[in-house]
Parts: sequence; C-alpha cells; structure tokens
Amino acid sequence: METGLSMDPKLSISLLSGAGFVLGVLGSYLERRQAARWLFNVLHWAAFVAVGAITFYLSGSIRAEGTVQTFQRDHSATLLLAALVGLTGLGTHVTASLRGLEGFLFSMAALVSFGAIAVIGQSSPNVPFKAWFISHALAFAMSGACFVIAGAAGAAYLIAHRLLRRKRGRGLIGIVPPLEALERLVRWALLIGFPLFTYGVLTGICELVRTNDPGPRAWLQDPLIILSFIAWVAYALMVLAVLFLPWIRGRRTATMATWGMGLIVVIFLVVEVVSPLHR
Amino acid sequence: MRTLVVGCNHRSAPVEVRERIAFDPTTLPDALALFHNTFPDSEVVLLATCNRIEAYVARPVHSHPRIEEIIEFIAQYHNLGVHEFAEGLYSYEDVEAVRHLFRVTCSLDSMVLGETQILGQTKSAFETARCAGTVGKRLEPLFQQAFSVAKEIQTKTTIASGHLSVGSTAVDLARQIFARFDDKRVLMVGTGKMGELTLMHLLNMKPKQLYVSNRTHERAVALAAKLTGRSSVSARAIAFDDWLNYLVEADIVITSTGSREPILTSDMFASIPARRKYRPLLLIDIAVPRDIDPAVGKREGVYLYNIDDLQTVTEASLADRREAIGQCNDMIDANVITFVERQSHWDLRPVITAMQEHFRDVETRELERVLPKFENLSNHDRQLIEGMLHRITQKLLHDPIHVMNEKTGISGARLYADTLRTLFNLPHDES
Repeated sequence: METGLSMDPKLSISLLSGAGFVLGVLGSYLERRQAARWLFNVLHWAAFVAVGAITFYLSGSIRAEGTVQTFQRDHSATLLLAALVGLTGLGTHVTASLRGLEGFLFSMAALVSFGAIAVIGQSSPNVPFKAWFISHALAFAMSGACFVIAGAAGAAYLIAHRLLRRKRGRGLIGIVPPLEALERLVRWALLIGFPLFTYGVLTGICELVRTNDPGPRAWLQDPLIILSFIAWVAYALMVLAVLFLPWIRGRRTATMATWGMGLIVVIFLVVEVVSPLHR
Repeated sequence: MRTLVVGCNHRSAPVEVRERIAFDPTTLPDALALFHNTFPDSEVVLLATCNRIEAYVARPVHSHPRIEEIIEFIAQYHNLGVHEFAEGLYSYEDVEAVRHLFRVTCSLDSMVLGETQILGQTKSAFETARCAGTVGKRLEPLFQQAFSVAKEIQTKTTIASGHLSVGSTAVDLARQIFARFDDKRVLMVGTGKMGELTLMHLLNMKPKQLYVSNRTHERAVALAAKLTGRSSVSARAIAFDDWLNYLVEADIVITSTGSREPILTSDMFASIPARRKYRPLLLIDIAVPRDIDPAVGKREGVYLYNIDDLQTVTEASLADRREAIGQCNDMIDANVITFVERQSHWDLRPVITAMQEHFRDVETRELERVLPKFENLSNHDRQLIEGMLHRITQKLLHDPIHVMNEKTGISGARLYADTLRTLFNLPHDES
C-alpha cells in the first residue's frame, strides 16, 4: 500500500548529498573561525558521507541496471560530477598548501548536487555500443569536475588577490590557500581536464558520424553541439595561453578559469532545457 | 589547602623595582629549596620573567606562610627592606589566585596581549619547581589545568591570531602569496635596522638564497656575513648598481635605505615583470621616505606593502585580540569554577575520612562496652546488634556528607570542614 510519504530515490540522494556538502562548507567556515573544533570534524564527516552516499547510489544503480543505463540518465552523470568535486575537496586536506580550498569545492559540489534535481527524469536515448558511451560520459564528468575545480580555485585566487591588493590580507592564512598553490591547481586542472573534454567531444562526434542520425544539418541546430564546440575552443585557447603565453599568469589565469566554469554552467543549463538532439 | 599569589608585573611596579627582586634562573632552584625549608608544609613555584616576578604558594589552611611572610621571604632573600618594593606588589588568594594564574598563562595579563612566550616561561618555572621538589598535590593540578586552559583559549579564540610585529606580519603576507619558500630568493636593499629585523623573520622560512645590497658595499658584505652566520640561508652581497637586475630573480624584496627619493620607480620597473615571466613579487618597503614608487604596486603580479600598510595589519590583529578578551574571560571563569569545585571535593576528603573514623571508633568502643554485658549472646544476635549500630552511624553520617559534597566552592567547603572539625574535635590532617 502506498503511504504517499516515500520519496523518489533520485531526489533523496540529491538532497542528502547536497545537504552533506552544505554542512561541509559550514564546517570549513567554523574551522576558519577557530570555533567548535569538534563540530568542524562532525561537519567534515558530513561531506565524506555525501561522497560515500553518491558512490553507494551509483554502484547500486550500476549493479541493478548496468553502467550504460545508469549514465544515460543525466542525473547520475551530474551526481558523479558532484562526487568528484567533493572528493577533491576532501583531498585538499592531504596537502597543507591547499588547506582552505575545501569550502569552495564543497559549495560547488552542493550546487551540482542540488542541480541534479533539475535533471531527474532526463536521459539520453538508448545507445547500442556501450563502451564508447561509458567512456564518453565518464570523460565529460571528469573533465567537468576538473573545470569546476579550476573555477573554484580561480575564484578563491581572485578573492585573495583582491584582499591582498587592498591591504586587507590579514587573517587569510588558513582561510584561503596561498596564491601560488591556487594558481598551480588552476593550471593543472585545466591541463588535465582539457584532454578528457576533447576525448568526450571526439567520442560524441564519432558516434554521430557513425549513425548519421539525424544528420549534419540537425547537428548545427543543436545548441548543445554548438556550445560544446565553443567550450572546447575556449578551453583550447585557455590551455594554449597557459602553456605558451608567459603573461597569462596569476590573476589572468584565475579569471579565465572562473569564466570557463561559468561557460560549463551555461552548457549544463542549456543541455537540460533546449537541446533536442540529446533528448 | 589555601592558594596564594604574591608578585609584581610591568603594570604594578617599574623595572627599577622589578629588577631588585628578580630571581636569577641559575639560582632559582636554591631559592625554591630555601623557601621550602623555611615553610616545610607549603608548595611553591616562582615565576620570574622580564615583566613579572610572582610566587605561587599552596599551604594547609592553618599553616604558613601567610602573605606577609612570603613578602618577608622575598625581602630577606634579596637583602632588601620590605618598604623598598612592597608598594608595587599585589596578592591574590584562593579563587582569585587561581583566576590570576589562568589569566597569566593565557597572556591576558601580558604586556603584549596574546603573546605566547608566557606559556612557555610558566611551564619552565613549573618544571624547575617540580625538579626542586616544591610542587605537590595542590600546585601540580593547578598548573596543569592552567596549561590546559591556555591551550584551549589559543585554539578556540583569536587571542593569539595574527602578528603584532612588522617582521612577522611580513612573513604572514609572504605565506599568503607563496606556498613554499625553499625555492624562493630574497633581496634586501639597504641595511636599516627595521629591514634587518623583518629579514630575520623571513629567514626563518628558509628561503633558497639571500641577496644584500647597499650603497656602501662593505655594509652589505658585513650584513650578508652576519646573516649567513645566524641562519642556514646562503647570503651574498651584490653591488648596489646591480640590484635592479636581481629583481628578475628575487621573489621577495625588502627595501630599507635612507634615500630621500624613490630608488625604484614605475619606469625603472617596467621591463622587470616580463623578464621575470610574470611570477608574483612581494615588495616590502620599510623605509621612510618610501623607497618604492606606489605606482609599482599597481603592476600585474606585484604586491607592494609600505610601513603604514604593515602597521595597519598589525593594528587590526591587535583589535582582533582585544575582541577576544570577553570570550577568554568567560572561558577562564568557567575553568576556575570547575577547578575550584574539584579541589573542594579533594579538600573535604580528609574531613569526611576523619568523621567516618571518629564514628567508627565510637561504634567500636560502645560495642566493646555493651556486648560483654549480654549473657549467652548468640553469634547471630551479636551480628544483628553490630549491624544495627553500623547502620545507625552510616545513616547519621549520610546527610552531613551529602550536604558537604553539595556545598562546593572553597569558602563553603572550608566553613563546613572547620565547623565539623570543631564540633567533633577532629584532627587537622590535610595531607
């Protein structure tokens, strides 16, 4: 008998993981304020539980339905992205030079988790070849995580840079990692994320060419394809600039990464709302 | 047991008075031993720093020394008349003594609010007294609690946050820009004293290389040699005409010359960022008049701080510390109450034990007197009588002991203890 009180598991996991990451942000804030150390530890564990819950949910879904079915759902891919970002946030405690960044990463992970609610029920059409799709979805999730991490580190850099230039850098230590560490993280995240993104785009193009359905003319009318191409070009230019233009350092690198993350957010929203081909 | 504090600090007595009654660290164990020999029932810790001289004493309630006797001891030890220093002294007893010690270890009573040296100095004084055998069951838990409170306050409040010296503030700024220092190069232009002090703080971070430049090259050479000797960092003197080229290599630059005009203008700096491949650069301009044109600080990747900027940061840190005072006082008060209540229970134990023994004695004596008068008393009946008498004494003792344990706080506990000792003629055993 239905009681009417049960909640869709997808909604539950999105809310639970999002709440866990929010508590992680709160814990980071309390740690920076040197208040209630025991509470910080508890709240930090909430973020750990959030990552674990997503992992458990996705593992169960893969066992029950298979990898392809699982990642055909945009909700699963989005949760994977949130888990990767959250895991990176937990990982910043491994190195002292990035301590303070976890608050930014947890907040990104929380936004992505809650954003997954918007795409419950959305899925890609059935795909006959499994391997390319799995790698396609994973590549996009991982590259998305890298770009989000780069954007979060870039935002942290810009905040710290602004405070230091305004001579209000007092008390930043422990709240935001040093600028040098943040810049290094931005550069590495871009350099790792871009090849993964390229792989995701290429596998998508290969499948479109293979099926030739609905045809090249339709491709050019799909906002997702157009935006993905624009994002690819943008990140390609970013990576080239980071590698070969010596004046693209510090604040400029951080600004690029932050704008890039904004572009990823726009793509995500467009995919879920107006893209016909991927529906 | 009573706890007493007698002493003076930078607020109560000028340095001329403090230096007269200061205790030499090398002879401190002798002073402690002499105090203990003079007052065998007491415990003592002597805390002697450049800003305070204090004697922390614990003794049985009706024993010695009293405060006047402690002052007299200090006078005799230093061959002084009491009148020569007594005016600058303060004294605290019991709860206030505990609170004072907690405030001292938490640096709330220090000249520089939130400084952390006092905790180390207090620990050192405590260890010296412990080695001298003048610390016992009263001062040991008191000082351990004081150290615990200090650590709690340092971690949970902002009382020790930030830095209050220009040099350490510069290090904070450097740490906010650079993640590591072992690959960084520091350039010092000028050999001013303030600049040197700032440099010493930076050298604690162990940079890779230090360059020193001055118009008078011999001074640069001397300073480089001095710094190499005092730290493990390699220091090299460079020609003053060449220092601009070393801006390409350096990551942190300290300027402290006596020049009336800026030695680094925006035009002079124009080509440097490209040559440095736009790596971040921290410029610390300690000099007045300023050595570096403020326009240089607007360049990409450059962080320029002059002496006023550093002072503003240190003042903001001091304001933060002052804001934490209320929170610290609350935490100290809570810990004082906890400690005093715990000690009161300890203090009551001898009285409770003495009362129980007294009642047991009465019980035993009455049994010995009455039981032989019973003829043909069976073992069972004997046990019944003994059990009844024992239960009567236990019931009579239960309420007084329960009430005494409830009445925590040193004055309440002592009042009950003294009254019971008087009423029941109990011995004064406070060991």
